[in-house]
Amino acid sequence: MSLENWTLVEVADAIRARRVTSREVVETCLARIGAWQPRINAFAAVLADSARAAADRADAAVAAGVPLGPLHGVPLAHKDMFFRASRRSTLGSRNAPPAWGAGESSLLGRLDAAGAIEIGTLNMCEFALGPTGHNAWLGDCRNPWHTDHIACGSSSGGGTAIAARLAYGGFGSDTGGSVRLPASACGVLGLKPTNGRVTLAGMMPLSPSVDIPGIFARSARDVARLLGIVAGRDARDPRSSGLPVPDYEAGIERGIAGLRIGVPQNYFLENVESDVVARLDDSLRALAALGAEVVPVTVPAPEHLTELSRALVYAEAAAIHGPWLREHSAKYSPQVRMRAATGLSIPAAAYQQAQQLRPRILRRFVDAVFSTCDVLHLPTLAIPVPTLAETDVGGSATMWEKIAVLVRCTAPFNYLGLPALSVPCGFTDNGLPTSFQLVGRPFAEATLLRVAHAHDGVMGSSRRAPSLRP
Amino acid sequence: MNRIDSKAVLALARAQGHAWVDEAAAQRIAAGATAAVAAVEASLRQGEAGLLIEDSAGFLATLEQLAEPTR
Repeated sequence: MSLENWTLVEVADAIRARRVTSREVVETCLARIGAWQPRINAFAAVLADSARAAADRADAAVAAGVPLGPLHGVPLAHKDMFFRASRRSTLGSRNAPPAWGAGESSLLGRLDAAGAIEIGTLNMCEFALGPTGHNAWLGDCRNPWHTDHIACGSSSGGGTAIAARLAYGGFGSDTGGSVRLPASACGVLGLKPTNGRVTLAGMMPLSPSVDIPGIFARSARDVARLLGIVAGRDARDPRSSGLPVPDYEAGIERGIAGLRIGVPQNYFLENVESDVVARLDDSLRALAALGAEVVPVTVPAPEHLTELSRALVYAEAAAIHGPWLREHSAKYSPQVRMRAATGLSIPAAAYQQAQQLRPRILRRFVDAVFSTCDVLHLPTLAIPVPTLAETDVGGSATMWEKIAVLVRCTAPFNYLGLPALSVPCGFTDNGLPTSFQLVGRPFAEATLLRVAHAHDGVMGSSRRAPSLRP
Repeated sequence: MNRIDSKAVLALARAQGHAWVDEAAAQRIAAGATAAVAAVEASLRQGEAGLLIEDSAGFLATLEQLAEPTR
């Protein structure tokens, strides 16, 4: 198998064992970026020189026999909204205020300490407000399986770059599905951790009470390694949890015999297109064959969860963007301008009620659902991946409707704060990837990864790679 | 239902200095805000009667209380 198709864990282990050098790995990624970037526009910036220098330092450390971190010499790439003091992030815009995009990300600091190399910053939707991957300022991000189709967003470059083997893993942010949707559209795994599991410090805020960094990778074990490095309390982030961080890699091989997989009987399987349903059914059969028990589950009041999330997200986004938007409205694209301004018309009392209802609704959901099953199994994206043209609605009258179709199965879990993992499970009739989504109790990431690992062991869905078409 | 119409949006936008909001934008914003507020009201109706006294800062604590037991 060629180097680009190795997983993150495989390449990390090979560098440590001196079977390959970090410089070889970085050059492999840079060569692929050179070929793919003009077609899919996955990167906001390619950091070739600094990545090569970091790789040479990593190889020197291997030769010197010094202790090595779990990501030593491995090239990663992240959404361009995790700050470094040495540069200014674009935040998916060319027009952000100068002070925005500056700072230092705790998450990047933890990856640096683990030995990772940052090979570039990734394209994203403007200010992380958009589920399609369109971007008027940086250029649209395109799906590597077919460039007429969207990559989804808002972490659009994460799905495309990891699927096209331009880096071995990376981070985005997920406030309504912004990691899980591009992961699903591009055929890689995408994890939205439990809110509080991963630090927000030094990441661009869209809606701080809903935001959470998420992971793109090509295997469950890769996700496990990345999560284990970044999870845990951060003194710089009062929203981060101090609960102990499990060894996510250690339990991943335990299998799923006896695990109860819940299939929602209401809401989430309504209006799902038939070829997506067929792949979901395939994945359930595979999980049942591995010993899991598939059980029906009724989900309490799911129809309000997405809009409850919006009451929080838009109010907080308006608070953040309001002053800049008032003076510089032309520096926003029409859809982002209107979405950021929606919170200006949400009454403060309604915002506060949505916050106060959140623990109550979470408790009711967890009690009802996870007394019946261990994990929920549902679609990530209920439709086959659409084209850029079909979803290029800007700020038109169909804006809300198009957005609602895309985030229907993802945004509810941002309001609830629950962990959710998008797992590739084949292709729809248009040749684009599709996925199932696993949702667990708070801090149940290890269980979700165990299910995904077992599924991939028999289906191998994450091993297929897109190829450059002439 | 507490409906937020485009006139209310325009008035609020003007009051907050957002002169760029025109009638078309106000209609889009009104649709989004109305849907969000309607969901809050519907959720309030589904809950038990009584004062809403939860401390929203307790959300992380609730997540931690409901955490999956170590397997």
